[in-house]
Amino acid sequence: MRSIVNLAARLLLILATTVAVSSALGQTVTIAVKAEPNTLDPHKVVGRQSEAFLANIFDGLTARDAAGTLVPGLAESWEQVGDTTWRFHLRHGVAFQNGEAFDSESVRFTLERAGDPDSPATTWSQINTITGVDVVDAYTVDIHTVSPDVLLPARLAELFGPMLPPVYTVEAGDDFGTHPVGTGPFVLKEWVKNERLVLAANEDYWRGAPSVKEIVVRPIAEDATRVAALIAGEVDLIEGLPHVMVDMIDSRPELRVERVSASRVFYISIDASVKPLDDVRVRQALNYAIDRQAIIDRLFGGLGRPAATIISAQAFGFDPSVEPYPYDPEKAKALLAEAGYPNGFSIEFDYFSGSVADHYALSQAVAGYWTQIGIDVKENAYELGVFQEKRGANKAAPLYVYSLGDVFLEPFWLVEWLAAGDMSRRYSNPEVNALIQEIRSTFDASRRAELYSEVQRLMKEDAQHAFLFQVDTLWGASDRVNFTLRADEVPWFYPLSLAD
Amino acid sequence: MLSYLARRLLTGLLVVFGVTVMVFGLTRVAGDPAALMLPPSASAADIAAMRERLGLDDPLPVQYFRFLGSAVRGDFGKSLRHGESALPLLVARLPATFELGMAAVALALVVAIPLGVVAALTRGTVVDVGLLGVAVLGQAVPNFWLAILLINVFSVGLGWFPTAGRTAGLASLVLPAVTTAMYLVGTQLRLVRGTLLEVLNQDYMRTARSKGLGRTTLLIKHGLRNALIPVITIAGVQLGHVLGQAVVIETVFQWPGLGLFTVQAITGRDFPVTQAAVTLMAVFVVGINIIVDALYGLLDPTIRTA
Repeated sequence: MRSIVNLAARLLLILATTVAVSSALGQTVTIAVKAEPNTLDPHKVVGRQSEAFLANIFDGLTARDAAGTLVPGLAESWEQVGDTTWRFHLRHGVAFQNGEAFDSESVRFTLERAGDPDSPATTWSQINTITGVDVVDAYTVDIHTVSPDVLLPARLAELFGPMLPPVYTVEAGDDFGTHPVGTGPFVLKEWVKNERLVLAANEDYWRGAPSVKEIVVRPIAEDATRVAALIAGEVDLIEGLPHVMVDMIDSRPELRVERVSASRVFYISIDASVKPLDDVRVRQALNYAIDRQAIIDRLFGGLGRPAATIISAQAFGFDPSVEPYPYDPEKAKALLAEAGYPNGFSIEFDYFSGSVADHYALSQAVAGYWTQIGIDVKENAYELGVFQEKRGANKAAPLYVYSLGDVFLEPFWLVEWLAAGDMSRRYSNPEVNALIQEIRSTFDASRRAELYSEVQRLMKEDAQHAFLFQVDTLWGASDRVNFTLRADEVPWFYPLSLAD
Repeated sequence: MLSYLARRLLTGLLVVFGVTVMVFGLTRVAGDPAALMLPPSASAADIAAMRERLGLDDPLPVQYFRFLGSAVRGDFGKSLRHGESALPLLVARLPATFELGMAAVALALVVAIPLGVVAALTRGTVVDVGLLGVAVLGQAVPNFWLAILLINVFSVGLGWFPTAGRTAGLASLVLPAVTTAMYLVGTQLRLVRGTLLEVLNQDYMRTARSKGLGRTTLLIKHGLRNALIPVITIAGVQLGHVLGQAVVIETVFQWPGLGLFTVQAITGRDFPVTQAAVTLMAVFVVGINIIVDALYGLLDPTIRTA
């Protein structure tokens, strides 16, 4: 018996040593993410997670700095040369990771591939104002848009404007997604799906070689396991730290929480075309009834901020003087009584689970607040895919939860999106529509900011949504690495470095 | 024996066919992949165009027979998310799941057989009751909870095993295999105990005892040997159960097998992969059942004509 125990102990020791050796590979940084990209072909990516990851391998014509400001990328500068034409001056001497030169032809090829009518890019809707690309010379391109598009430079940043090498892309065909070539800071070295994705530093990167030579990206879907991997020292960084686990990380001296306010605004859509929601007093009552700060405190550890409209605090044009609805249940009841519903009414409310961001718990909290002012809330809980189908068919309940992030940090497109009229998007206010049309083609930034202020004031007052809050995106980090999050939430590993 | 096997094969085929109808129907009622594949800014027209490209706007029977026609040739179509053929993607994940399943079943047998024997021999005592208690606990504890508990104790606390993945060789296998085995041990332990008790009371055992055979010889040669037939059967069937458990275990431990990949396919409404995965699992489970039945026939002649 003793010899068996002995043997078992030795076996465990050997196993333990293997683990220790594998986690201490010098210059490598290991990062656990919630999910790996579905593909690394920028025109076939599905979901924000996949889109955002591309920045590490590709560059766009423009880019974002740590604060989220638009800065030059593969284009050194850009200007308007007509109402519907932008001219981009490209950076000289940039090569793709396979040696192909980056020039105007690459831009033309990439954008034509994205807009191929037979199989447009999954992300085409983000850049589909483009109608054509003219090569002016080897390092100058003119990009035409269907109507004046103030947003074009932002559209061509890292998320939707990654540039591809024409020769290699055609050669690679369907294999491009697993063997991508860009101009970015890292080269894909190895990808074992569901296990690891290894990035090697691009020593010839035009911004200068990255400090970390190798990054291992491991998908770990389960929150608890991902956090355990960080605490056990197996990984140096984890994406998507759940708010309820912040204390666990904070209590360990060698770990820290990195946070940045996400642009995603959670909201409840209110159908103003049906009774009794057609009365603005009723819609305002629904807004006054919700204690936004309490939900942030209880569900998100206080890491968030109440929102007044869909326009997030870091977006261009955000006006802090338009304040979120305060929590005032008495006023809410008074408004209901005034509108003729002193005893409330009965209404359906759709919400869902299974999306990247948790909409489930907060929806239940909101339903609870509405119940407190006397409304009989009929709650329908769905799985995301099923709800999306219902919403897409324009059949969502009069009240439903949703959220949107501002990928361009320039929000007119969000308002336009809310007002599209189909797919249960019911926002309707002619005044706001007119303002949005004006913003689209107003190239003077200060004038645009004024117009945005007006949009926010109107959106808050007409209360066709109960905008709730923005919450912080959290990462867990080991003190072994220096890493901060970018304001646009793109996981950008270029500035990552090892602490000495 | 041959006609028996032929009959089993035929019913097996019918089961697999039934499964394809069900998985096809269920994926079609559970949401639209086109909407999930495009960014929020996509318009209804963009989504409709995507549906058309994916062939999702054809009538359901047309879609089903197109799927079935290709599936019998081993072509389940291209993954909507990965853009690669569904079947090879899944086949690449089989070794991981197979490794986990075999390790768990083997581990369970190694633990359950001796404990089952002890329980049978100490029937009615505190030891017996204690072991049965452990068996019930093993079956009652939710596997995701056990998994996280084991990770916290052995990975975070003691640092013995990695928390997730399959990159550290054998060390990576330990926690997922133990978690999966916990459930299997319960069933097997109780089965070994029960059948052994039954066998020990058989006439031939009394005869053997009266011939003056030693206790150990009696137990192993005459008792356990006969008691193990159903245990082996159940172990085979459990390999099928492991596939079901893998869905949870592989997700918690990020074990890169069939279960994890299937869960991702289901959440992403990746129809081709979901259909291929479920069909593959059905073939696997049906296959194991046929093999087990055949083995059982070989071991116990009375079954053959049944």
